Amino acid sequence: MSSTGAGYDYSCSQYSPDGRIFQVEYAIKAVESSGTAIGLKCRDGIVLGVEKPQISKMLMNNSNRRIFGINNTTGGLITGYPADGRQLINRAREEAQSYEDTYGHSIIPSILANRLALYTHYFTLHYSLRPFGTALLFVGYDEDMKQSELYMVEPNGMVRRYFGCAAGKGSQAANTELEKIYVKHGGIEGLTCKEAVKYIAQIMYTVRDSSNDKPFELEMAWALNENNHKFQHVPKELIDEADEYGKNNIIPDNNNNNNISEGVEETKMEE
Amino acid sequence: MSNSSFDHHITVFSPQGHLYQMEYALKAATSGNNTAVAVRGNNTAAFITQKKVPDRLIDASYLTSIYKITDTIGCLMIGLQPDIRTQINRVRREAAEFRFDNGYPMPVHVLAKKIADLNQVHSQEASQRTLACMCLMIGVDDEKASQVFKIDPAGTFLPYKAVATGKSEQDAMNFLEKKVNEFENMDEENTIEMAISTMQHILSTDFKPTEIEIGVVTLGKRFRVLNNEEVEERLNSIQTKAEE
Repeated sequence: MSSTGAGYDYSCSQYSPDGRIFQVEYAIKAVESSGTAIGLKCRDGIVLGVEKPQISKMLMNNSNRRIFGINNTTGGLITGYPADGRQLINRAREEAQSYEDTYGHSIIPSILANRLALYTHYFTLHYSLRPFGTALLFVGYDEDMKQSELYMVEPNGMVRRYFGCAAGKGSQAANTELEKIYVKHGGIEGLTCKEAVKYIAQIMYTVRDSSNDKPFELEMAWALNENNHKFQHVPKELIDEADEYGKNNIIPDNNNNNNISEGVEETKMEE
Repeated sequence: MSNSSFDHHITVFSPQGHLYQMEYALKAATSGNNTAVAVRGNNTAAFITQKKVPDRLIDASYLTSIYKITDTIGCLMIGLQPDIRTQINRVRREAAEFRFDNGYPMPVHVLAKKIADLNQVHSQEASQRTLACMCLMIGVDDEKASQVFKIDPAGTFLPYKAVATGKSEQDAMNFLEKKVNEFENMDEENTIEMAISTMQHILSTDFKPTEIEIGVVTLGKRFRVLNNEEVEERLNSIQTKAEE
């Protein structure tokens, strides 16, 4: 049984003898080689952040956006191929608009998640199409359940709701750090968005490979409860502060056992 | 094993008469680490599966394998989650369109056949790959009381008195075969308990109510997923009966 996929990896419409679809797995690799992206749910909102490596000194700062608004209270962050990501964002905007036109109510995040998952999945079914090489992290506010929600849609069409999620190069290390943060703060209730902005910067600096990786720019956005859940970019001053904090507070590499053993079993993360 | 790689690319027969892409799809569908069991009783049917949350950062309230299709039909799907989502979308649409076109709720066996036929198309036309998901469908209607169907990626569908699918399929089926004569007279609670006992037998560990999901439908009542308290009640009831 081959694990290299040779011969079974030309199109999405083939299964390998192991029952895997290699084209989709390759699309996921495209996401894994892009800059780290993190989403973190807090008691007063949700924060999204992404590191954008500076590919050339000729590029202007704040260009090459990765974070986009979908509707007033919904917004997304694209990883992987930006062109594929922008297509997905366009689709999300269309879904949101058509839902509002049909039902007279702004789109419920779980419904948007479902639709984007189905859309992304469609591209993994046909011989003539290729999967999206992008993972979309998006936040929204559910007015009926009265909660903010964070979702991640992956190239294979998988979507899940998260308290914290990471995608991209440093995603595994970032996920570990996110878990530690939750344990330390006793769940979402103990974390505020302003703290989360700093933590995200800190994680970005910690998980990057400082010898190989180029300097990067941080792009962050949030949806704060106190602002009526409006999705907007984090003010530049806060990002600069967080950047300083992250640079000077890189988490050391040795396993901090005191962080992990405190209250691991009792921590409840379900709301 | 086929000696020509041509068979593996699209849905053509191998010289030995196998449809390899179907077999691989079946493998993908049952490759996960969970098992699902469905049991039919007297005017009632129930199914059960394990609920595994892969990661503490995931919001577990969003994860489920059990989907309500109509008031009287429910589906338990295992396999690749994105494929499951698309399949459920289709199943719901078929059921809703039937109700709209014909004015009465879609009978379970008609829905099962429709979904199986849709799956079969993918095994014959090269345009789209098969969806890697196994479906256990339970439902009640006024034609045939309660029914349990298993629909596989290749388009095979069969009604069962009880069925299992997934990792420990064989163990579960062996267990259920020994008890098949008891099923006809089981009421809702006993049907659920039979499903739970099967699960306990395969897993041979105790589990908490939060680690399993149970769906049940009974004639005269709607399809529902049991909440933690109800699951707890059934677990306690099994415990008490075992001690007697």
